[in-house]
Amino acid sequence: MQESQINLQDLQNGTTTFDPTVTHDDFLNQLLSGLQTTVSWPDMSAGDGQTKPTLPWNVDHFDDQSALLSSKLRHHHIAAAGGGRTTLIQNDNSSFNSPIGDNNSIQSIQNLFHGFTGSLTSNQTQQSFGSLEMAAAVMMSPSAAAGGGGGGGAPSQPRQRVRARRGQATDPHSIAERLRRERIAERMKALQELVPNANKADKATMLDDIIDYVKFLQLQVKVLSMSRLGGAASSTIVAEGGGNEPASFSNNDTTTVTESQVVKLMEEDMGAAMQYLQEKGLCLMPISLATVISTGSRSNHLLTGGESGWPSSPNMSMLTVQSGNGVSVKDSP
Amino acid sequence: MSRSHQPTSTNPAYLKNQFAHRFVRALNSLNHANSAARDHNQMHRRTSRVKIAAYTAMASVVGSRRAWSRAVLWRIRKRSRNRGLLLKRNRKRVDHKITNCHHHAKVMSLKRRNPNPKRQGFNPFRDSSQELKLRKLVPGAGTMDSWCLMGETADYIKCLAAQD
Repeated sequence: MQESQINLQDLQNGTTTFDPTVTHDDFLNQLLSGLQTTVSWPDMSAGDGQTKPTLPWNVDHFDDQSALLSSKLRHHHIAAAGGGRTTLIQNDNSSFNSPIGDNNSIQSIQNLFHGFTGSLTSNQTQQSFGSLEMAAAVMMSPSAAAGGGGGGGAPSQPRQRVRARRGQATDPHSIAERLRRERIAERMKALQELVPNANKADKATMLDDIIDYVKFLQLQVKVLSMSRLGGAASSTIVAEGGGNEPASFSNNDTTTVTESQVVKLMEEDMGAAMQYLQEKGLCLMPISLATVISTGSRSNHLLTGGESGWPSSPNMSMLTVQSGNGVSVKDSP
Repeated sequence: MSRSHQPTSTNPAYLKNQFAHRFVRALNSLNHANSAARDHNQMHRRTSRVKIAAYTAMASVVGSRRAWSRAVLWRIRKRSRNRGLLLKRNRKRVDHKITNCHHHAKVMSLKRRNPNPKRQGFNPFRDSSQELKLRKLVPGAGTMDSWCLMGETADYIKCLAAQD
């Protein structure tokens, strides 16, 4: 008993050395056994004999001891090795020597120490040392502690970092990434406003929409520019588009028929309307530009036009021009 | 970004006016230059010229403020060198602009760095294929981080939509 008490006092003072040669399994066994055997922690403070084989510690007594131990552990910079608990302890500067298998109390002290270090490494939160019940819980689940025994650096340093883990705001990398993410999201919103009828159910669909819209706009430019040179030129577009037969016309009647058909199609499906126009060698153009062009150059090759807009725009006005025949304007509401 | 002394208006009306003006001018010059031949090859050439005129007009309105406009003008200049399509008068003007733009672009690209090491977790694109598609579509967006890519896309869409 005295030996144990002396050792405990040495433990308190931090002068004793701890030489664990127990293996991992042995440690587990001892831990489990140590929980049930008596621990003389309260004896130290009270100076009495051993306690009953129930849960040997009281919170009141153990607060001091745990605080002491935790401070000791912090000071001694327990470095966790990758392996089991034994190597962990060996890295410890404060090594505690005690004859193995001598005393239950000593073993239990060892186990307690193991448990403390284990709680240190596993939780990596110093708050767990505040209440011994948490340490007890750690000891009760040695597997969890053993599994987490890989990460404890100097206990004082992770203290500030880890404490804010929930907000994830301390790491400069994560802050930068969060900023970047926010910027990207903000620009996504701006793009969403640009693209009409965007299906913003998800970022992925939004992006698909954006891509399709850019493609459509580019196609529109291509169609507009190519069709400007007359119906025959549009055959090239059509050929590039899908290998349709070229169609060139210069008849007034056909244009009106075409127009009505296009209007009909447009009400149903914009894409089909565009395709129809292309096949016919027509294209869509806003009336403003068409008037500018027609007044600008009175010459032959102007082209057909209509409304243009990504879905169907509300004001539709069709301007049909034939190559070499003049301009006729028709409004279709 | 506010280094340009030009009127920094990107509102659609301004864009439309400018674009229409330049486009019509280009078309006029094309009309004067070419005959109304119905030859297939010539037609093809002229359509491409008109298309080039459209893109050039659009990009020249924006000038060198945006990466995509610089890329467009640069490409056109290259093509004009290769094929000799442009008129001499236009070529001079375009070349002059493009040299400025390209110089500016080079300077800017040297300054620009990829700010973050790539971490897959914060990639906003569901598939990287989407990002690749977008980069292919928007001119001059080959070497850009995601954020700049989105900005260029936004501006490009604005200008394309202003083309009517």
